[in-house]
Amino acid sequence: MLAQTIVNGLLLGGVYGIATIGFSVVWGVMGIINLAHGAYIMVGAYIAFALNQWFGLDPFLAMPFAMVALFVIGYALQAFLLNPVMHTSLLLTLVVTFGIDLFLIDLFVLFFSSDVRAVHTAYSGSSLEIGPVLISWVRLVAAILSVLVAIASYLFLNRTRTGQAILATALDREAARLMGIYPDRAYGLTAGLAAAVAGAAGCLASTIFPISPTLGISFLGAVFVVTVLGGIGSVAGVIIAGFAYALVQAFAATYLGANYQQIVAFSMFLLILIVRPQGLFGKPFYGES
Amino acid sequence: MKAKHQLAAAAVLLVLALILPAVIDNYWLRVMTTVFMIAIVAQGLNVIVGFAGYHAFGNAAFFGVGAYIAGVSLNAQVPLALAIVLATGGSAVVAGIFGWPLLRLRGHYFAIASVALNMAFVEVILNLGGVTGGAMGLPLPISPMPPDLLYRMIYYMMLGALTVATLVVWHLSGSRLGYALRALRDSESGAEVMGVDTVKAKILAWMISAAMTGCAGGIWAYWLTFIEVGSAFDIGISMRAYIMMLLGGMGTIIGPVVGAFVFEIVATLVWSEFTHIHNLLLGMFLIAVVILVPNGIIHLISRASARLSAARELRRAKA
Amino acid sequence: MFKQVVGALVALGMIGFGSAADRAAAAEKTLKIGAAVSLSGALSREGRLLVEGYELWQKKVNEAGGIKIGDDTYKIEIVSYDDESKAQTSAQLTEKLITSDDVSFIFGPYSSGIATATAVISERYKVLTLAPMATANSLYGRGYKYIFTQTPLADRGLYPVLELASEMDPKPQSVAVVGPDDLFPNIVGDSAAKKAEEMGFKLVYTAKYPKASTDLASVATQIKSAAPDVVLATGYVQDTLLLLKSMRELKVDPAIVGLAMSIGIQDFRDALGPSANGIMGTDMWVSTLTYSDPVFTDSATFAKEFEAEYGNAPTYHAASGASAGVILQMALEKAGSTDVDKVREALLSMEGETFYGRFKFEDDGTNSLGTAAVSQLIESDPKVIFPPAVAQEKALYPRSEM
Repeated sequence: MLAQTIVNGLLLGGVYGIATIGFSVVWGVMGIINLAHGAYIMVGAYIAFALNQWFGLDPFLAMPFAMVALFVIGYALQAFLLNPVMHTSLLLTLVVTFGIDLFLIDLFVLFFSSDVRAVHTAYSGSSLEIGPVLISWVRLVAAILSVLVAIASYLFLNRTRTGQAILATALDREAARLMGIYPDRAYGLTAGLAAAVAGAAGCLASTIFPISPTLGISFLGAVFVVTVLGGIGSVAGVIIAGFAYALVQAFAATYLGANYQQIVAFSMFLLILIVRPQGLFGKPFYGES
Repeated sequence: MKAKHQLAAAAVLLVLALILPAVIDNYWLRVMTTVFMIAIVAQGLNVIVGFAGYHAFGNAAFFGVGAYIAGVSLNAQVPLALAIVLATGGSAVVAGIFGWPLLRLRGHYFAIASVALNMAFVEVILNLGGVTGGAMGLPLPISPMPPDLLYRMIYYMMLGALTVATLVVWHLSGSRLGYALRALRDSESGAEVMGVDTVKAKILAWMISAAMTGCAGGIWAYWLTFIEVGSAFDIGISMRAYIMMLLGGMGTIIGPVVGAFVFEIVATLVWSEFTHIHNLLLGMFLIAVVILVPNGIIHLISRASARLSAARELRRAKA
Repeated sequence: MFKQVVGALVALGMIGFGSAADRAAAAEKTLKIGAAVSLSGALSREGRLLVEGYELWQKKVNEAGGIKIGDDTYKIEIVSYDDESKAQTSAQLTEKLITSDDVSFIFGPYSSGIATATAVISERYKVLTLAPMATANSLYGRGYKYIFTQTPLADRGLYPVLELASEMDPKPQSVAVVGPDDLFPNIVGDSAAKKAEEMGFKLVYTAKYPKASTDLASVATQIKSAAPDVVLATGYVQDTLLLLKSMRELKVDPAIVGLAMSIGIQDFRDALGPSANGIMGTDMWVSTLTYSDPVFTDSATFAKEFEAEYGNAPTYHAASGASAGVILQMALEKAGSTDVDKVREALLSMEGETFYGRFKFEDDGTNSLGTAAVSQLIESDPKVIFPPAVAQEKALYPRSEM
């Protein structure tokens, strides 16, 4: 059971990580807590579901489509709604993103009803057997793809000119402007990319979890904990934290009892916030003071 | 709007509220009681958000704490008045205990930590079980009073609590603590330089805020006679109150009350027509408020009246 | 003074209005029935089905010319509101139904939590509530006189599955009970665990996971290591799907998987996909039941008419709603009056049946003759397997691997 518990945690850790990257980067770069992030994941999951239903497309192959669609949504919402509000009060962005979240969830109830859906593939439900340990194929592929997307995001932020521009804006908005970087555009790009990664996470989630318009809400709790654990704005930290969080959850459920999962999560969250708000792996310069 | 004018407006509203039960039916009585209840929560947020600048999104935590303290006390045969006092005081104490570590966090961190606190309380009650009823919910004793009388009594209890809360906010706006809070809202380090004990001021503010919220929660529990963690710690309570505070004007004296009234009445009248898209409309409404009236109705009124009096002066000068 | 003036004005208005109404009434009377049910929010799916049940009954009655109560014939008008899945809103709307809309009878909301908040109000005003989808035992233990449900209470939710299990050959030995930590699932789960031990099963594992769990692989892992013959799950649609998916991935293969409440729900069965075969669960109502009543004839007819009206097959929620209407109708006819206390007495003195099942009400408002069936998904179709009297197929036992 110990080995299976570890595997359960590891398989899910990647998905928690990729579900968190966009949220963490947006918080770190712009200081915005995007409460609609869960809804972005939900939209990604429905894109995978719809493409599978209508065209028989494999949910893993739906990822590029979901990423493009969500990039557009994320960019547009940032440009038209969030950028203007950021200029007056940063904290009011919380209210705006909460509004977007409500809007998107209800929109999907309207189009897809609140029925619970699932994506079925020929290989879902089958597992790789190694001794006593079972590894679900779907979860394995999802975990590997998560790590790949995470590495791509990391490389993009740290190795490309656009990525550098985004990080520079995060460090010092005014200095970035002097260097010829338009903060509003950098913010739009950041939001778009973050939403795109959330969309990818949604596609992966659609293979593992039942889908409903409120899918994102159950994710958002985990996303918060992983963000804070990994250090706000740190992609590498988020991935490590995703695995750490999933392992802790798996162990808590197995050895303390299933009802302790949430308590352990919240205690971890509050403790880290109070003791080490920059996160276990966060660099102190990210995010706001 | 000056504090003086706001207070005059508040007095007029209070008189109207006092005679209202004579002319409305029990349904509108209940609607108005709900308005008062959520206005108290909004006033509570006003203290911690509007004055101190700490965005306590999870203030529903104290609504729940108040409801559960009142519920457990009432089930233990504690008289109603004492149960509400316990709910009020108990919530303040809880805020004092958790405020000490949490209020060291700033900005987003505090906002999110307060939400986590709310969710943590839910888990605590679920796992505590026993006198709290855990996941099974907590039924309260049922009053033998006839409905007309009982619901009027609850109406006046909520109104009384709201009046006290508004008076506290009014007093706060002119008190040393009020100035200290505003100073630390604008710059925490600046306030420290000025000699403000920021830690004490913040914790005190959150305790006042929690007391108001907990009092509303306590009366609500008595009113509904059955509480569950899902409805008592509903994050929607603090979210709605937050919007009302924004709508009315944060940091003002009667803004949250006006906001609560406008929002709740509009919601009651309009939403029954659009059952499928409640949240869709609410979401759009939220965004619209933040973008169009970020400073609230009260500021809008004072700006308009300032313009009016400026025009009058101009005319007088011309004459 | 002010109040008196207002009162006088209102009274004057009522005289004028009343005389007009009297003239109309000679031709036709209308009985208003209130319903504040969840049409938005977390319980909107179930709430909508319930309301559709109520409304189909209304349509049938009015098409047949109305209900004969005493010497008058009444048409039915259901006044329905959306309680947003919130107890606070539901309480407010119940007050509105009673005090503004002047209803004397109410069709209850979906879920026991909400009904507990509204029952206290209807009780205070002495308004009769039929609450087919509020079955928490605690609600009927509060000494209320004016709330009735014809559906078996929550604590009996998994008894039929256990009874079926004990008749299987070879008899399963061990049982696990899992579900979310929430009002209804807890009642069902706790009493099923107790009952299982009384019936001689070995209880090898119980778990209450948080309602908002994102993942249940760990619970499935523990079920696997406890290796029960019977797994009883008390959860809602979403978490039960998650649990069954995880069990399948971890090759957990009990001989019986019994669910407390999801089996009758279409999208649950669709979302289960190929892993559904052999899963069984309690169904409060199935279309093959053979009970009958004068309004809907029998369950098959009800199902057909429901589908014609709403375009999808009915669930037990809808059936319970429609049959609550039939029960109220029978009580009204028997009482020969719309007086609440007379109708209540009629309800308590009756023994009868609707297409949904037989009923005889106790003083606490519960139905001592209520029963439930067990359905099993056989080649993705729900088939009734228990009790034998209404069974369509023999139980698939032990169920083939997921």
